[in-house]
This record gives sequence, structure tokens and C-alpha cells, in this order.
Amino acid sequence: MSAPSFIDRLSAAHQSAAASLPGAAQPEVTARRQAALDSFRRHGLPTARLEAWKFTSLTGLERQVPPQPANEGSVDPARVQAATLPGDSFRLVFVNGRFDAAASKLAGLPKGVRLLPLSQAGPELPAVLASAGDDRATSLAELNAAFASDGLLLQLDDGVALDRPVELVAFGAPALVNLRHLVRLGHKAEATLVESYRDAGSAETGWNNIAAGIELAEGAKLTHIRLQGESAATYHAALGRVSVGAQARYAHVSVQAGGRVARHELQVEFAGRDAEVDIQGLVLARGSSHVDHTLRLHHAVPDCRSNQLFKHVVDDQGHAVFQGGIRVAPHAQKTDAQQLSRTLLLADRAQIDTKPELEILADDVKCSHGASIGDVDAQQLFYMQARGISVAEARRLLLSGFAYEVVSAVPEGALRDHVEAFVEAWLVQEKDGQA
Amino acid sequence: MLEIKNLHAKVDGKEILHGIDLVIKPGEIHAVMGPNGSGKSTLSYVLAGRDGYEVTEGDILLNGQSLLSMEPEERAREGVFLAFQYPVEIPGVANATFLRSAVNAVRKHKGLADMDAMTFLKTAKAKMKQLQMDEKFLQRAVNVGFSGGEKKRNEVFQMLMLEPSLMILDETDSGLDIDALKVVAEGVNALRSPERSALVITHYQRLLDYIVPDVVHVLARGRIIKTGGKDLALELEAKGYADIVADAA
Amino acid sequence: MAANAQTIETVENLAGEYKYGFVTDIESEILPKGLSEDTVRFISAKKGEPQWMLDWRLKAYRAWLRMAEEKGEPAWAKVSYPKIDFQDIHYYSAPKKKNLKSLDEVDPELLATYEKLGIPLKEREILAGVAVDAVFDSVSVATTFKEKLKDLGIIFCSMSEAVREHPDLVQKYLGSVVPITDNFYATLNSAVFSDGSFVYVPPGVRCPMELSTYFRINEAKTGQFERTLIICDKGAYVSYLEGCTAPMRDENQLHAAVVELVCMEDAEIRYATVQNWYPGDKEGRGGIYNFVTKRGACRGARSKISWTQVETGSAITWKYPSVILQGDDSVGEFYSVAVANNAQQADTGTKMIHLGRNTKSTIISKGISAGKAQNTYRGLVRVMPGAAGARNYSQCDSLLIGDRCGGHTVPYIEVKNRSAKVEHEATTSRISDDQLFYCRQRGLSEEDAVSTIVNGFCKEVLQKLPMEFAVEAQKLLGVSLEGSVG
Repeated sequence: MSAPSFIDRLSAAHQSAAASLPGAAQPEVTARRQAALDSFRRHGLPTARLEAWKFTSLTGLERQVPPQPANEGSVDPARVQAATLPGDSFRLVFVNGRFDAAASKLAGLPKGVRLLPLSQAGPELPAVLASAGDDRATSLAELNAAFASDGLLLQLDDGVALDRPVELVAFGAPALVNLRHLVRLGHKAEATLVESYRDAGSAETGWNNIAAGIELAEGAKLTHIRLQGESAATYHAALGRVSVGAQARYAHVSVQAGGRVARHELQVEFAGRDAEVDIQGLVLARGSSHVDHTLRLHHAVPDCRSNQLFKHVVDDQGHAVFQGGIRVAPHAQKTDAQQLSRTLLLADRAQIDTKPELEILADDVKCSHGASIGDVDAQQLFYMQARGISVAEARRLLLSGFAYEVVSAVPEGALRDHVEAFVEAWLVQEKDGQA
Repeated sequence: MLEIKNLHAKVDGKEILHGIDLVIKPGEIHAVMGPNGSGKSTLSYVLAGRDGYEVTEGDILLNGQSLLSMEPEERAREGVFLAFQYPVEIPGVANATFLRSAVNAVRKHKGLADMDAMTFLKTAKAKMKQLQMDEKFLQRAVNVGFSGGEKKRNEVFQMLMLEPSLMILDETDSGLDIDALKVVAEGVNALRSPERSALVITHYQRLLDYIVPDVVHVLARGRIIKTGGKDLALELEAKGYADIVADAA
Repeated sequence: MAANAQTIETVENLAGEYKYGFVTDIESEILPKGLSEDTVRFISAKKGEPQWMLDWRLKAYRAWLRMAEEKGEPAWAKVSYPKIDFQDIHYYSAPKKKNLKSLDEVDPELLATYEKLGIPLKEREILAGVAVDAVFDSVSVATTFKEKLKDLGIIFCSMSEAVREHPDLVQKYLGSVVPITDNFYATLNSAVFSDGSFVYVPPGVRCPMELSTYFRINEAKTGQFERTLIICDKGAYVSYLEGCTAPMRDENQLHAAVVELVCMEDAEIRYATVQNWYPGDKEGRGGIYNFVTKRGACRGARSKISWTQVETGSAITWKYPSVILQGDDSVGEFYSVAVANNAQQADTGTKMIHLGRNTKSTIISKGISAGKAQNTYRGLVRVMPGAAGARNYSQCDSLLIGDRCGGHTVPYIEVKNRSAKVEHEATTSRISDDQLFYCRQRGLSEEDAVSTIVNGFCKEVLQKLPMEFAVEAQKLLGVSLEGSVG
């Protein structure tokens, strides 16, 4: 008999883990988890044969990651300190896929706000674990539903505006971690969410498999910052699904600066008219890091606006992927959808694959996309040199300037400083004299 | 020439013109003045036959012939020229190409042969000189990247080329400095003739110093509330619309 | 299956009578529907091909069988159509099912279109499929023309003739750009191709005239599986015009052609297509499935290949004229206008594969959709690690007329060299009511207004066409979009 397959071993691991997962006592939840596992077993891991996975391969994962949930672990408090916002915030910290109450801050939640780890949730679990689809393209989300050990649950009642940001900080493990989040903002509710995935300091290979659902009711506003700074040995795959109600506003900034293979897939559906979505992404890839942003914006209703700006800085043998799909449904008139992707390749073996896709089925629309790829601008470089700046310094300044356009989409103040520090930490490691 | 009888018109289901009567005889220039929102632009679009501007009552006769059932291009070929308040940009289409198509469409309607490229170019260049326009405008895409003043000049240039029998100038003075205004006015005056009439729609009296009207109408809330000679424009300028509108009410 | 030894013999006997090749009435030679090795052998025998050519075809046929079994037809394009039954097709047949005796028997709508295009009466007859042998002697035209070229050492003949007369060149280059197993339709074409054009321009020769299938119009109709091969030797130049500027009526359903271009050092090939195959009726009944593989290889340094296409016809277009930029400093260009009206579906674009240093490519694509049509630009720009200093500029614009059509853009950009500079822009717009009204206020009819605006939209591409071609293409755009507004 041949050795059991990766998927069989995962199934076996599920058997032993099931009893300790949140909701194990709720038959509805256990049935859903089993169905999710079955779906994953049917479809398996996504492969390059899928259009949406054309440029990103998970083949190394099966060999390198133990197919079992992570055990408990701990993280150096200094790392937690460094990864969190300095000022006032509500905070949930997860280590190895488990809620770390000691490192978290949940005291003093205002009325109308429900914020808790998934492991402490009950009646919400079926909604949190709801299916994202039963096919190969969504199989990882089903795997996540089967195994989800914890995550963030945030619900705001109608009209509630949180004055402090909500922080979610997760540290991975040298095994499989499945966090699952659900954010629901009521009518005209407002919140800021900072979602961070950080390096726990282990050199071993881990796998963070994340799924997140975001639902914005009419007139709700969410500012959503996502920082991915995993270790160079970590596989990171996340699927976010966002539903944007009428007149709601979703502003998202995603910075990915780590991971062996890291993918953030975001599906945004406009559910009501006159809504606005602004998505900005920054990829910082060096070493042999492979970083993927895959977006699908569905303008299903008229009168909505979306804007996407994605920037990539790729050094060494890094590989960036940007797939930006915009679909404008029939009758979604007066849609305004803009997209721009810009890339700086800094090394001979650096590479970028981009596919900015437009699918337009209504005529009274303003849609465009643009993509540019190249090295830093020679004229700008020369101009700075002519003012006495060294090439290395000029390049650094130009890189900062390039990245800053995305950073500046973060609301000014402590939050922007936090993101800027995250970006600068990557940039200062750029080698001197790279030319 | 032009006879507007009890004209009522709706836009987006809302009646904007509530019964306008106006007669312009051949060779006359009439000015229609009025405050913002009085229906001035609606009147110009209704005359030119824009979609969405629905005539619910009354008639518009050009030389005794009703315009109402005519398409915009048929009206244009019959001699109605509207100088747009906001001339439209058409990327990739050269001014010359565009205008020659228009000239020949009008000529064909009149039973004339097409104007050949050489004659067209010669005529166009002469008219541009008259308007102090650079010849390179012929090769540029229609109105694309033109300044506000250049667009308005381009409108008058087209008018000179098409030689309409009824010129409708919709706020042609907006966005023009005084020199440009003079040039534009000279262009219009050059077309003045016993057979040709004009309807000058404007908010300010300024343009009428250069294009002197025979008759001035005041339009307010979709009706002509006062009609007089060119002095009426000066009176309006001095007293403002509020008083006149109040007087008439 | 084994039936056809006799058929082959018959054909071989007949071959003697076919001195004049394509102009003879081939009505009697319609091969029964179906595809088998015998079909391939029949076609090869019919053309009096040497053994190597038959072997090549059979190899392709066997590869195609495997493809059909393993994967079937490619399904990634944004087009939908009922599954094709490849056994329900004539693989060797004359397109004129009905031998019409006069124009009176031709579809009046088709004639009206020709008239608008200003096509002379005689040509209209040919195009409509009226028996033409008596009225149009394309052979003599082609022959006079060929003599002129022969003096310069240029070979311009049918592919069948090239296989017989220039086997060395054909063997060397056929399938060298589009390999036998390249894709499903190219493989099928390799097995059963009927005919096509062959061009060879010797070193240093500048072909003094535009070469065109126009001169061989009768021949062009013989097959739904054309195969064209153009070789431009060192420092040579040729401009090739494909298809007619006029609509060709073709009653066949599937058209799967292959075009290969080979461009040596300092050579240049310009290839222009105006395609107006029958698009089907307004409800989408009938029409051509145009599944074409076109690819050029810039083999030598400083070579240049330029594709220009105006695609207004076919029910479905699946076509990606591409350039492989192997030689240093070589240049690839793709200029395209694709119009889809009524129920048409077009999935077209290009691939620019940068291998050599300082290679340059330009892509300008203009897609126009009207009616219920779907129009997709699908393109690939790939810069390989060795392509230092590569440059690409792409611009893909979609124009939508009406709210029931779709305009899509799917560009793939893959860059593996830091010194590359790649820029891509895409926009989607429509003909605005303002623009229409403005034109009409100046006296243009609604249709002329649409045509004017569309021509302006396409200007950058139309400018790339040879003069007469451009004029016809402009008219064609107007005709294709008739009835699209209002």
C-alpha cells in the first residue's frame, strides 16, 4: 500500500481535531464542518490549471507542511509589542491559531459592539462558517471552514461608530493554521480594522489558511488595513469576501511584505447603489518570495465607484502576481471602475505577472485599467544625482516615494505611522548600491 | 423665418417651457435673455431637436415648415445651426474631416455637388483667418484639448462654413475674454444678411454690444415676460433680472 | 474505412486533367462528410503530394485524435457555441453548394451590402458564389503578376504548387513557427489543409507590390482550412494583404486557417487582413466559426513583423496573430480593429514573446461591440529573462454601442527581466448621446454620425492599412454597424 496522500492525512487530522474545534457541541456546526471537509476532499488544492491560480502554485506546500493543525505555542512579547498599534485600540491576538487572551485588549467595549474571538462565539458560528462555494477555486476556504480553530468576530449595531481601531494580530506556526473572521457593520456603522499576520520567529515552514467575510449594511464605512509580514518559510493563502451595501464605503489597504508563497484574494460584491470601494495594494518581495494579489470586483448594481491602485517592488528572485478582475453586470450603468498597477523590478531574476481583466456588460460606464512595469525612472535618478544624491540613496528615496502613494491611502495619524513603519522596515533592508 | 407658437416643452417629465411665442423675420437678430434656470438652454435644444426635450404643445415653423417631426440633422440641413454652450469633444476625429462631412451633407441636401478637398481647405483657411484661428486646428481632433475660448471660436468657425439660415447662439459669450468676444461677434456679424436670422441666447448684455439685436426678449420661468428693443438689454443690465421678473409677475 | 483506395486512384487519374488547378469546376469532388486517415490520404493524393507531405499530415492527424480524446476543443476563450461535430464536415469540398446562375438568385441583403461597399458588378458575382469561370479569369491575372515577381526571384504561388515545386523551402519552414501540435485547430489544419498562399522573398529584395490573395480569389474559396507560409529572407521586404476588402460569402461553418511568417535578419513583413466572413443573421443563425492561428517569428536581428487586422465578420472569431521576437532589436506590431454586432462573438488579440535583447512590441487594439455581441481582447506580453531592454506598449480600447453588448479586456503581462519596460492601458467607453446629437446637429445622419465616431476611434489602426484597404475598411465599419443605434 502506498503512503496516505496529503489530503487523506488532512482528513485523518480532522478526525482527531474535530472534538476540540469551536462549536463541536452544535450538531449544525459539526455537520457544516464535515460538509466543508468533503468539499475540499472532492476538489483538492487549487492548481495552475485554474485560471484564478494560473500564476501561483502551492505544489511545495504538500511536501513542506505537516498536514495537521498547529499545537499551542507562544510568541515573544517583544514581537507582539512591535506588531501592535501604540495607542488605544481593541485588540485580539492569535498565536498558532488560538486566541491569546493575555496579549489581547477587549475591555471597555461600547454598547452596540460585539467583538470576540470565534472560540468564544456560539450562535454566530453557522454564519461564520457559511460556504464560499463548492469548487476547486474555493476549496481552501472550505478547508478553512472544516478546521477553523479561531478568528475574529466583530458586529456593530446600526449607527454605531467605533472611535478606536480594532486590531487583529496573528502569528503563524510550523503547521496548518486556519483562522476565520466575520465582520458585520450595521446601517451607518463605522469602524477601522487592522489585520496583521506576522513572523513568529520560527524558521520552520508553516501554512496560514485564512478566510474572512465582511458585510457592510447600507451607509456603513469600514477602513480595513491588512499587513502581511510572514516569515520567508510561510505559505499564506487568504480569501476575503466583501459585500458592500448601498451608500456604504469600503477602503482597503493591503501591504504584503513576506511569505514563501503568499496570496490574498479579495472578492468584492456591490450589493446596493451609490457605494464606493477604494483598494490599494503594495507588494514588497525579495529573496524567493512569491506574492499574489487576486481581486474580483463585481459591479452588480448601478451607480457604484471603485478604484484600485496596486504597486509592486520586486527584488532578488521575488515574484509578484497581480490579477485584477472587474466585472460590470448588465444594467450596472454609471459604474466608475478604475484600476492601475505599477511595478518596479529591481533585480535580474525578479518577475511580475499581471492580468488586469475587464468584463464590461453595460455601456454607460467609465472603466479603465493601466499597468506599467520597469526599473526606477532614469531621468528622476539622474536629476537627483545632479543635486548631489548618491545612486543608492536616490534609489531608496524613489522606492519610498513609490510605496508612499499606497501608504498615504491610510488615514493620517498613528495608523499611517504604523503602516509606514512596516513598509520602511522592509525598505531599509534594501541592499546598498543596488543598481 | 422662425415662428414659435405657444411652445410647451418637457424635460425628464417636467415642463420647462410654458408657452413661448416668438417670431423672427428674415434678417432679424433677436436676443433672449434671462436668469439661470429660466429655460434658455432648453429653448435652444428644443429648436435643434435634442432627444429628451419633448414638445407637448405648440409648434416651431421654419419658413412655414414645422420642425417638430424633423431629426436634428434634418433641421441642420434646413439651416438651423446651434452654437453649443458646451461644445463636445470627439477624440480621433479631425476637425477638417468632421466639418467637411457636415458641409457636404448640407450641400447635398441643397442639391449641390460635394465640395472638393481643395476648395474646402481654401474656404476653411480663409474663414479661420477671419476668426484669427490657427490653421493647425483643422488637423486637431474635434474640440479635444481645446481651451474654452478655442471651443467657442471653433463653433463660430463651423457656422461660417455651414452658412445656416438660422443661427442660434447658446451662451456663446461665456468663458470668452473681451478680445475673443469681439472676434466671435465679428464672425457672426459677417454672416448677417437680409435672408439670415439669429437667436442670441445670453445671460449678460455684454455680447449684445457687439452683436446688436433688433429685438430683446426676457425669458423667465419658461415664459417670455417682456419684449422690447435693444435698450431693454441695457435696462436689464442696470436693474438686474429680479426687478423685471417682479414687475412682470 | 478502407474504401478509398479506389477513390485515390480515381483522383490520381483525374489529376492529369487538373492543370489549371483551382479554377476548374470542382463540384463533383465533394468528399463525403467525415474525418479519417483516408480523408487525409485523399486530400494529399488529390493534390499529388509527395510522401513526406502525406506523412506530415498523418502525423498531425494522429496528434489531433489524441488531443480530441484528451482535452477536446479549447474552452478558455470567451465564446460559446454548440459543440462542433468534426465528423459532420466536408473536408474537401467546393463552397458553392448552389451553383447560382445569375445575381437574381442571390440574397438581396448581401447584394445591397456589396453595393454599399462600391464593389464592381463583376466582383459581386464572384463574391456571391455565382459561377465565375466564364467571367473572371483569375488565372491569367495571377500569371501576369507572377511573371513580374519571378524576375525578382520572388516566389508567390499556392501552397499546393509550392509543395510540388519548392519542396525544400516548404519542408524547411512549414510548421517551424506553428508546430504541428501547437493547438487543437492548428493541428487539425495541419492534417487537412486544403490550400493557401506561399511566398518567398530572396535576400535583399524589396517586393515592389502588395501581394494579395485578391488575385487568387477563386482559389481562396476552395478551402476552409487555408495554410499560408511567408518567408522573408535577409534584408527583404514584403507587404501581404489577406482576404478581400469585400465580404466573402462562405457557407461552411468552420474555418480553421494557419498562417506562418518567417522573418530573417533585417527583413520586414507586413501582413494586413480585412476579414468580413459571413457573421450569421441578426439572431445569430449561421455564420462562420473563424478559428485561426497566425504567428510570425522574427528570427534575425532587426527583423520586423507587423500584423494589422480589421475584423468585422464571422459569427465567432478566435484569433491571436502573434510575434516571437527572437532576433535582437527585432520589432513586433499588432494593430487591430474588431467589430462585433448583433450576435457575433469575437475573442481576439495577440501574443508578443520577447526573447532577444532590445526587442520592441506595440499593441493597439480597438474593440467595438454593438447589439448583443461580445467582444474580448485577449493578449499576452511575455518578456523572457534574456530579453534585456525589451519594450512593450499596449493600448486596448473598447467602444460599446447599446446596453446589451459586452466589451472585455484580458491582458496577460509576464515580465522576467528588470530592464524591460512594459506599459499597458485600457479604456471602455461608449458613443455618448452628446456626441451623436452634436454630429446630427451638424447635419450628419445618425448612421454617418456613428460611422464617423467609430472611424475616429479606430483611426490609429486604420492608418496602418495600405491606402485602398483603409478606404474599404472604413466603409466596412459603417456597413457592419448599420442598425446598431436606435
